[in-house]
Amino acid sequence: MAVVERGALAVEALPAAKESALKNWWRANATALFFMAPVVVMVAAFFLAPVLITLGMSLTDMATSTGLSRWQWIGLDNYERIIRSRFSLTILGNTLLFVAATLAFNVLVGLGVALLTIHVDSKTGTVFRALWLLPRISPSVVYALMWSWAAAAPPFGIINQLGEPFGVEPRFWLATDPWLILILVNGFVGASLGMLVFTSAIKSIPEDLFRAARVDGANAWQIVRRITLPLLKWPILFVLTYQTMSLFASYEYIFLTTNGGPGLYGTETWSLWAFHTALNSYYGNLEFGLGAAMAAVLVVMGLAISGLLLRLFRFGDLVGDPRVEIT
Amino acid sequence: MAVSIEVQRSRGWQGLIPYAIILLATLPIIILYGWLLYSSFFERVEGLRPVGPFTLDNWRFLWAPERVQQLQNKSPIIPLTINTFVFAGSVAGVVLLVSSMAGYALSRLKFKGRRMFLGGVLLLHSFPTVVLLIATFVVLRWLGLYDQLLGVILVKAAFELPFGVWIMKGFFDTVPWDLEMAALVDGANRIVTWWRIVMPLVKPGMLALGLLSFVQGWNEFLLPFIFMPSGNQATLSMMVRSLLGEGRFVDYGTLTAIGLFYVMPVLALFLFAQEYFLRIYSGGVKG
Amino acid sequence: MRVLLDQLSKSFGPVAAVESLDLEIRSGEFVALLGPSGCGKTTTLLMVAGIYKPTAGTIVFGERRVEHLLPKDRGIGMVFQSYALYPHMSVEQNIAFPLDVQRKIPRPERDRRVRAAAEQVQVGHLLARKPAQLSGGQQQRVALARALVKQPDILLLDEPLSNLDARLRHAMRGEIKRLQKDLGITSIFVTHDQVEALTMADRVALMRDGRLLAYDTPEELYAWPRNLFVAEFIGNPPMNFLPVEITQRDGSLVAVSDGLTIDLPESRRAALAASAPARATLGIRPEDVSIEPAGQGHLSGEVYVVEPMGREQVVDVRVGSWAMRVIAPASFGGQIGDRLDVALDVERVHLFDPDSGERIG
Repeated sequence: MAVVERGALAVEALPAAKESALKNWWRANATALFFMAPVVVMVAAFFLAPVLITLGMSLTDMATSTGLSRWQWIGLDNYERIIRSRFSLTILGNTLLFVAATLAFNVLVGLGVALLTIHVDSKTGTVFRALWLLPRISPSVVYALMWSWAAAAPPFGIINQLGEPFGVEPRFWLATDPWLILILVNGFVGASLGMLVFTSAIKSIPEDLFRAARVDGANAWQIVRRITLPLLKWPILFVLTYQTMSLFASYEYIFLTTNGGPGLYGTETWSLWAFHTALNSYYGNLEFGLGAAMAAVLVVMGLAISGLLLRLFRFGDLVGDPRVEIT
Repeated sequence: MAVSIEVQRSRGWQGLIPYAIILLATLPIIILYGWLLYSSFFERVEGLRPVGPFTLDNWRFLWAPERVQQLQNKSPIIPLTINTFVFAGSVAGVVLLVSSMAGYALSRLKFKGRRMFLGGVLLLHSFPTVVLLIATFVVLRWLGLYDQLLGVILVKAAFELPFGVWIMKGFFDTVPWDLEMAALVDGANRIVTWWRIVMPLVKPGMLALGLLSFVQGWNEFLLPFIFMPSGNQATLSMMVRSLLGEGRFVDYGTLTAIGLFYVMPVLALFLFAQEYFLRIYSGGVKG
Repeated sequence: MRVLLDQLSKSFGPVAAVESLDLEIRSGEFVALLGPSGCGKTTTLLMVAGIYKPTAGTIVFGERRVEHLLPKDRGIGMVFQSYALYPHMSVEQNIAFPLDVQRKIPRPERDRRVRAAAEQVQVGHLLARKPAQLSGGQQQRVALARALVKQPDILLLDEPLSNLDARLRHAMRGEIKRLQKDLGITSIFVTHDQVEALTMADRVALMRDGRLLAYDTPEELYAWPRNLFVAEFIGNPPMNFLPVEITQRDGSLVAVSDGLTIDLPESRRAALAASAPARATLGIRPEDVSIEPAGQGHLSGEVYVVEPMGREQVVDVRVGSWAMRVIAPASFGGQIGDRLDVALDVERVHLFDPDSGERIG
């Protein structure tokens, strides 16, 4: 039964507005275009274009010897060289070792520092968190320099001097334990990200949960293990994902400390290898094409991993639709 | 919001355990930076042992650079510092402008490809930029920006954009929808709404992103190193590095002092703006 | 300016929030969109405002079709549930914003209109303050001033009183209604509180699950609910219901349930004869039931609980298996477990079809 008599409306007689399809498209998207244009241009110029160029370059023999004009297409030769190189397995192994070990350090230490700085009083906690951010916000050259000097051969190097009373044998750390140093150098920088993420995640846990647990008789360690950690599942996954990607691609600190040594490719990682080959070769001849091929392999590795991790993350849940439909 | 596990602390010596552990863990950092400061006041140090007396000689580069042998063939310190400052400031400026535009669109506008772009931003954020360096060389040459500060600014800003866009989107997400609806009913279009209503409300986020981008720019080494080989518009990071590669005779004292000089502005900035830095990570990460 | 909604619909993906809504609001009328959460009332309001685009149907203001127009071109003012005052601007700047954005108004005129709008809602003395420094009631007035400063044709309000405390709500109810009458502006407001709707509106549109169930004056809705949902939703305390069977007994119609027998009045005979139902849902409002000492009423029962309300008492009585609420005078002294009788004012009984919910007679 009709609630309102339709005859009273007489809407059909009123004129309607007509619009062309193009005008409609413009009206719906012009604003978005305006806001997105700068980022799209920059991403296209400095991400998309280089990616395509890299892929293209990897199929050439471009190098300083050929210059930018006398290069040739050589198909998959570069990739073949990589596969057949006697170093590629070592370097791959180095990369995996580096990523895994540093990742473990980053996440565990980041978690530890977050928990510790929350358990102490607020002022002290802030001071320590600030200290842990120092490596991240320092210029890489200076930070790497500090570690290089600390890890120097005896009689130099504060690691030697401070360790001696505890029975640690003095040595040239960069040569004898390069991985230890590298993991420390990268780890102190990387742990700070985890620390920040976890700290804010823990702080957003409703206090009532902790109160209830204490009323139930739990001690601090039990609270951490049974309440805090399970609730940190998503932040931990986030940090794992992000830092895995980031570690695969990072080589700056390695370059500035061991530079891939000691010896031939002792601590060389894949990204450093690509960098050395194309932009900083010991031998003088910069091989852009070959370096591009190495970089391309790195991209594939990275995409595979990030695809996996994004699926793990169920990315779709993070993105919702806007609530206003005006453009 | 403080977590009140604090009550545990009142339980005597047990409450001191966290303090002890965190102090121990942080010791390396404290020692490293402390040592840097310490060694800048001696001609040379062998680890902890100074060679020679306490001196301010290392800092001579500030007021009498001509007397420092190491710096003879290099650009004077002031122009370098200015270059670094201009570089960092410009990067921050570009990142802020572009991120606040794109972040708003991704947070508030409905358009095709929005989801794809959001996913893409996440991917780009952790993209191995080393991959791009080789080809960026080509792009810069093509744009005529090779060996130009402007070129490096654009590249660095572009690399910082994914993070910036993600962060700004996070901040825009916190602005209540009501305010935008009210503005639209009041007669503003989306651009006016963005500029006059929404942007003022994300000022803390902008400040945090601006500071962080500035610091990233200030600390940047690889990009100026690779893309400005002539050193005409060099930055401090390049100077520090070049002092190292001098072969046998390295003036460690001066190098240390310069290194410290390079670090200090950022540390000072950090000390004063700490809460803004920390806000970045709490505002932008979703769980 | 009148407002017409013709077959208005809105879906979000597969979910239909509003379905085929037909509504006519006369010029100068104050209409309430009332209903439980999720019934589509706010969605409808946002479509009228232009913030949502209808999936189908048309919206007419006066003689113009507006469903494709942007909010700023519709001549509307809106007050949001949260007031949506711009926190970084002063009260004066907030109220002036609609005028500033249009930029066609010279400064002195703009200032005059802002002042006038502020005075109209008695916030003229707060112009320099920021929203955070205002009380809830003051914020709402500022929101009203901002909505009215551009002299719109239509005023929209989304749950205007929900965020106010009870006492302030009473005060603002009267003020908003008075303001609307003084200005004569066509107004639509959304609420889930039926008391608000009944006290403020000229007509109330009751919605559920995206559909319009009733559209009447408050008096009509209260006294002659056209279906079960309306009867149940309107009125506080709500109407009492009982499933009954209708049969003949001694020449008159009675409603029977579980041992209870209620005589139905002659006036209903005609209507009931027409449809001759066997089963029905019987409804009676708490104020149409009175408490009698045991033995003198229609039905016997026992007190379950008593809620004193000051002016009266609401007594929960169990009559057989029927739990009913009765309004008793403040002097009622009954205790839990007391036995008593209730008498129904059978002229005021409502009968509904048990399946469709529609009113029978």
